[in-house]
Amino acid sequence: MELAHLTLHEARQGLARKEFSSFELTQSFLKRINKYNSDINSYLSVYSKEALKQAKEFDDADVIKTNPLAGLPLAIKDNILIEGGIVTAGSKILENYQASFTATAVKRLKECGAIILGKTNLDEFAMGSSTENSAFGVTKNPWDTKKVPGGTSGGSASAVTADLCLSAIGSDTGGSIRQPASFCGCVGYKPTYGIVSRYGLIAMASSFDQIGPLAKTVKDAALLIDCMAGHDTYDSTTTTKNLENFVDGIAKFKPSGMTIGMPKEYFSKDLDSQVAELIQDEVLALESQGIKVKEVSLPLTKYNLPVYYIIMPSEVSSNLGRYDGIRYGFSDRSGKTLESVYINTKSNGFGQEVKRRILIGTYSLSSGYYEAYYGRAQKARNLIKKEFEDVFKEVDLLITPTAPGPAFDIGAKTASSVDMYMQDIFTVSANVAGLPALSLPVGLVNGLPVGLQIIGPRFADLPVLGLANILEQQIAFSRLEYV
Amino acid sequence: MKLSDKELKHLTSLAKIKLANDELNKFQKQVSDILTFVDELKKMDVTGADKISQMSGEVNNWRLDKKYEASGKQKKRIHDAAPETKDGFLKVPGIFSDL
Repeated sequence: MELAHLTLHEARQGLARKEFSSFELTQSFLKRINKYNSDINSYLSVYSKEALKQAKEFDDADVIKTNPLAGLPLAIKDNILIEGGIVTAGSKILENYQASFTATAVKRLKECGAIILGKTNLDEFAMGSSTENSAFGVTKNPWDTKKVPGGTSGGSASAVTADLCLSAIGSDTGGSIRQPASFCGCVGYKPTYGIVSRYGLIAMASSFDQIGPLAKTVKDAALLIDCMAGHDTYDSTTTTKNLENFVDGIAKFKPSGMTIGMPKEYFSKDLDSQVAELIQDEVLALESQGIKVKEVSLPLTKYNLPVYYIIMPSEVSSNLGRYDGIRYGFSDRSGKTLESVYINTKSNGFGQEVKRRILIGTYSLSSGYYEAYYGRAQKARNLIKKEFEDVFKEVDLLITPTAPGPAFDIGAKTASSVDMYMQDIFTVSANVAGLPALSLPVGLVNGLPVGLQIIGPRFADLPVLGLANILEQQIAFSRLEYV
Repeated sequence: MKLSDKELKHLTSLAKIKLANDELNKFQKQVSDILTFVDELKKMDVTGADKISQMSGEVNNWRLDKKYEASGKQKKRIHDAAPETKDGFLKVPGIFSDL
């Protein structure tokens, strides 16, 4: 089997048994990136020299490296800072911007010994659901290059699927890890809000954003979370709770006595019936294992997207204020006044979707509309959060679809923003309520992968990963062998 | 709901974003469509609900009241990232003066 097709855990084992070197492993990815990246456009920048240098250091070390990710190559979404490296956020406004510090999540992955292969493509400032909003070209779905890989972590998802890395890191604000994972047939995990530090993640909507893994298996995703998770003094929204080890936890996890809820609002006419069938088949199989399943109702489900598309753009309009051409990034100083620097820089630097969301946020926060939009959405968000808390008194976890259907054609949904927003219909709730949620490939519809989503109450990351691990073995999805 | 010309102008002025003349109609329609979409929230009963402002549940995670200095290397990166510099300083447009 080609080295690049190995999972993170298989590669780790292979290195430990000296079946191959980290140099050979890293080189196999760089060769594939060289061969395939111009077709798929997963990577925006590739760190060939640096990656091989680190791989060689691993191989030459006298001491046996016991770091959990030692010698293992990963890809990082290009809205996460690595000191000295260009970080674009998929935008012309940061096209040449070099990061002045490294994100805590990446710092921890490096401390675990990981090798960084490069930065992956994304929708501009993580706004979109298809990676079509990138200022640096669209990324293609490796299963069918006429289709989108999903977004905004489309670069990361396609890199994992096409074996251009062992695993990748992405970010999820409304589904940006899970939906591309669903479209590309890999595992995508958004942890409980507060588990992974956002320090060094280019902020989009600070009360929704979370960093998380995209991987070939659930166990791989759990390992990456173990390396990144935990309190960070640089991010005061990170949890002060002591976290368990997830890899160990999922090995011991027993679902007996669990009750799974299937919220009826997520199995509506908006869902492709073939996806519904695939999920229901797996749930039936779980039932035969002694896990209880019941239908539940979340009546506020229809308000998730409106709440999200009010609060998120409001936070965006505030967070993106910093790209004013004063301290860094693209700067248009052709005008005569300070204000013209702001206006020209933003108008010429930002793409269309970014401008749209800034305008929506500006509207929601403006005088006369603030209470009717932002204020109301804050109350609605609280009620949605409470609705989930109530349902989790009845059931332990929820199973839902990840996306309304399989990947769509490139260009199919760019005419209407609202059409694109509807792609997030099942993923956004986990961000609205700060809950852990994972997407797992459940099968193929018209030859394209689709995902099953598991949502848990806050800090139920272990049960979510644990159930996913069990389902993964039950589903036995065949990964793509991209050539 | 349809955004009026005046409202769109007000928003672009607040956001400090200028739309090209040939973009105005398109943006007006697109932003109006999105506002219509989010107006669904008006139908939700939020009586008696408190606003929620943060999701972490954490309260006052302070850091030590101690000075943290950026390293020489970081200071150089910050300096080099600036659009214009002079004598080691970041050069910025004057607030009240013309450029």
